[in-house]
Amino acid sequence: MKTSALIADLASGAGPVKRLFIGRDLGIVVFAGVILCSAISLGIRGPVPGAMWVGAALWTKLTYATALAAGSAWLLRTLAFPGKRAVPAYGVVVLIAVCMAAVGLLSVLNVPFGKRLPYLLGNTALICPWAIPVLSLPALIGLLRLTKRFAPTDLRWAGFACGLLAGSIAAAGYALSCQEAAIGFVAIWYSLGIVLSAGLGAVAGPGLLRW
Amino acid sequence: MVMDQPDRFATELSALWGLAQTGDEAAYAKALHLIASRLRGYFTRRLSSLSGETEDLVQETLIAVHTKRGTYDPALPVENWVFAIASYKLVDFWRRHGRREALHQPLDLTDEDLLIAETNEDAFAEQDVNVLLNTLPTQQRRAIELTRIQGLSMAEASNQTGISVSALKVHVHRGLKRLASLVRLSK
Repeated sequence: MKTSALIADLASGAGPVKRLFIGRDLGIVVFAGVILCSAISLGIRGPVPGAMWVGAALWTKLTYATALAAGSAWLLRTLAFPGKRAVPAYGVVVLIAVCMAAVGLLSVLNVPFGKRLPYLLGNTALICPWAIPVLSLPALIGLLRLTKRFAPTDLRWAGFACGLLAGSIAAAGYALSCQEAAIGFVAIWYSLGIVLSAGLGAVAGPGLLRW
Repeated sequence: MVMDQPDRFATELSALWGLAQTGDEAAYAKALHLIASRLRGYFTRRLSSLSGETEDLVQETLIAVHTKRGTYDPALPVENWVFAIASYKLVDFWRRHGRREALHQPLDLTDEDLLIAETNEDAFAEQDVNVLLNTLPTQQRRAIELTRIQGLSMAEASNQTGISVSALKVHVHRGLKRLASLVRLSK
């Protein structure tokens, strides 16, 4: 087929353009992901004791997860469309991670030297970083499918953003049933879990996001 | 003098694109021609030894531009949006091309009997349109049958199949391209 014939074909009856927005559908997928992750997490391990709702740990986890979710949702919104500058969104994500690392470091410095390792490991250091990526799978699948409907041009990083967002959602759901009270624990093991989810997205991106 | 070329491209394109967005088909066709001629240079420079593939890539990109028109954000320069799609198609092409070349090599080196068998008369006699059409995916075959053999218009075919006009156009294009490559392959 000649290119000029193709152009004539494409243009004939093209009509006005209906602009595509991602906001509403992204909101729906995120909302569904939060509900699902919370339900699974609460269903398997039950809710945290009521006393935790007045302590700092649970709120640190929820704030961290929410902030990262917001940052990565912005990043995903940028990467789902061709030609948008993603640098500011990457910057926000890095800033959130740096803040969490700083808060985690401060909390560790407040613990006497000999007790630091048990403080950081808690009781579930080997569960948390695996539970979060597993818990993130439904949201990750939903987000990848959603993103593919738009026009991501950097599939690796768009997949990464899907994974980061899914991991943040999973971390929030996981926090509802996680009894670890140390801020340093959150900074390390929650972050590791979320990074693994993001890695999963980055690996899946090039294959699953092609359009 | 050379430097003002891209700027002229950008201003011309954004004017046409604005009209095209509101449904001006003539402006849209002009914009696509402008994009096509710009992409030809872009791809030729980057493909060097494979410049025979330039036109295919130009067409792939035009189809992508068309089907993803809704993702253009008017706050951005059109050319940024177009070139982001073009570079995506180029990377995608390299990925596919590398894989396909790897698959072809052993066949070229060893199976000479196979090639000879394919060139005898019987093989050509089999190349009835229907036989070829049957090798296509259902949607592409149907789109070609309706619009190129039965002679329906895109809108009529769309009504009959429930597939949108722009999706039909893509099916027809992909189908014809695939047929052409099938014929080339068996010769």
